[in-house]
Formats: sequence, structure tokens, C-alpha cells
Amino acid sequence: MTDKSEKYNKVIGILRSSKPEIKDIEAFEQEVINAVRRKGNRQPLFQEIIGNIFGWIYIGWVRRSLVAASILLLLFFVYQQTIILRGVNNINKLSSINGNVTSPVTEGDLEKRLMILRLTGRNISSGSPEFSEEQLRELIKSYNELQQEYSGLLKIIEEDPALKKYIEKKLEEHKENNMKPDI
Amino acid sequence: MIDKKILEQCRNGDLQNFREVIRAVSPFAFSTAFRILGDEELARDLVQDTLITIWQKLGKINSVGSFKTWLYRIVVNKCYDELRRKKRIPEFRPDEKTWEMISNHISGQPSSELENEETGRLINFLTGKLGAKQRTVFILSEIEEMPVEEISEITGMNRSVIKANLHYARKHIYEMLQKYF
Repeated sequence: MTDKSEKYNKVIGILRSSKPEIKDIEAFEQEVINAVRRKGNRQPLFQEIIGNIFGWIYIGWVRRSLVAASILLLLFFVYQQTIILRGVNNINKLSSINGNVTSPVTEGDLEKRLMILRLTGRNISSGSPEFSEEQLRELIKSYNELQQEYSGLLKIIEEDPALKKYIEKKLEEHKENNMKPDI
Repeated sequence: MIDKKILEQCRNGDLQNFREVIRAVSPFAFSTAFRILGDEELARDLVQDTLITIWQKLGKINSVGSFKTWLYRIVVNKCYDELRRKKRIPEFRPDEKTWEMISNHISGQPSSELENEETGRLINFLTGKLGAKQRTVFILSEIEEMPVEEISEITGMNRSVIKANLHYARKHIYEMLQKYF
């Protein structure tokens, strides 16, 4: 046996024969029982859930990393869902703007549209409307009359080619005037 | 080691029987934890923590046979985590008294057993520069005299990893002994 391995074996022998012992084992026993009474009866719900899902991983740091990764994934999922919901809401908003404008509006329709506008977060106060039912009916009536007149006007223009040409020309001029850059 | 009936009663919340479990498992749990950590207070806290974990998870134990391995696994993994946390703590530098104590033991002066504090110093001196894995494997294999299969079951490392870590740890300790004594 070499000197090197002799020293090694001696050290190992000493460490093997020196068994560390708990000092005051009875006090220790009582400490454990007290700790068990204090917090040991039931794990907090979060820890219990984590224990049930990741209980099969015995290495602490691996378990902690997986828990962290799952929390991150969950947060990412929630974030993504929020983005998707916002997208859907925007589409709703678009549909309420580009809805069938020419069709006559009923009182129920208008209320539905107002509700969609509120849900999609447009600038409409969430409190009770400040106009009466009578005023709302009046508004719907005027809107429908205006629409009818507009349809009638369109029909007249369609039937008279000279008038149509004239209006088209005027519209073109108006458009050109609007597009002229400022000098 | 532990009676099936005792475990059954502990599962039903009988703390009196759990005292028996504490008495039966604490000595070797503490010994293993102390040898791995080289710190008496830390080992004591860790064993206490382990026993609380055991109490909380007794329902998951299917057989008495697997109890010891399960217990070792909890202790060793808690120690392993602790060692990883302690990684940034400066390495152990023996003072004059410790040098004398270690030299006397190595040169064969006293043949008596070491006190806890002396054991801690010697372990810290020899394994202070080893990584958590190497230190754990070295203690379990060389000091606790566990077979490779058992270490593998406890630590989750495969045989070749255990052997490689043990080889490195032995080599390092040989060099330490050669250099300083």
C-alpha cells in the first residue's frame, strides 16, 4: 500500500467511525413535533397543487425550474388570450361601424349597436343614457326618414343621366379642389 | 426499521407514533446530512425539514421497504440543494487548531472517534472544493458505504455519472492529502 492510499484510507476510516450524532435528541424530537403541529398538518393549497403535479421530480432545482417554466407558459397563454380577445373586440367594433347603413333601424337594433359599442370600449359613457325614450324614437324616426330621402335622391339621380353626369362632374371637381396642395 | 403499523397510524394523524418514526430515522438522516453538509446546525434544520415533509407526504408511501430509500432521497436532495445554494460561500480554510487536529488524525496519533465539530471541519477541508454532485457521491459511497445501485436510486444519477464523480472526488482528496500532509 502506498503512502498516498494509506493516508486516504486512514482519513476515510476516521470519518466512517465518527458517526455524527444529534445533540439533545429529546429536544429535537419535541421541536419536530411542534413544527409538525404548527405547519405540518396541511400544506398550503399552492404547494399541494405543485406537489401533485411535480411530485415525481425529486431534484429540487429541476422541480423549481419546471414550476417556473410552467408559470411563464401560463402567463404567456393568458397574454396571448388577451391579445386574441382584443382582436375579436376590434373586429366587433369594425362590424358595428361598417354595418348595413342603408337598412332601416329599429329601436332594438340601435340598443344592440349601442351595447356593442360599449362592450368594445368606445367612447360612450357606461352610465344610463341622458336622453329619454321619446327622444330616442324621434332620432330613429329622423334617421329612417333621412335614409328614405337619400334612397329617393339616389333613384332620381340614377334615372336622369344628365343630372348624374352633372353631379359626378361636381363631385370630381370637389375632390380635385380638396386634393390641391397648399402653396 | 419502521413497522408498517406505525406508518399506518401516522397516516391517520397519530403524532405519538410519529415520535417513534422520528427516533428511528433521525440518527442516520442527521448523520448523512451532516456528513454531506459539514455543518451541524444546517444538518439539524434540514433533518427537521425532512421530517415535516415525511409527515405531510406519508400517504404517498406504498411499502415499508421503500421508506428508507425515500427518506434518503429527500435528505440527499435537500442537501444537494443546500450545497448548490452555498456554492458562492468562500471555501473552507482551516485555522491552526484545525490543521493540528487533522494532522494528528492523519498521522495516526489519536485513534478515537471525532466530535461533530471536528468531523465537520475535516469534511469541509477535504471536500470544500468539490462540486455538489461530487461531494454527495463521495459521502454516500465512501463514508456511508452505499452501493452504486442505491446511490443511483437516491440521487437519480446513472452509474457512469456516479463513477465519474467518485473518481474525480477521490483524485482530488488524494491530491489534497499529498499536498498538505
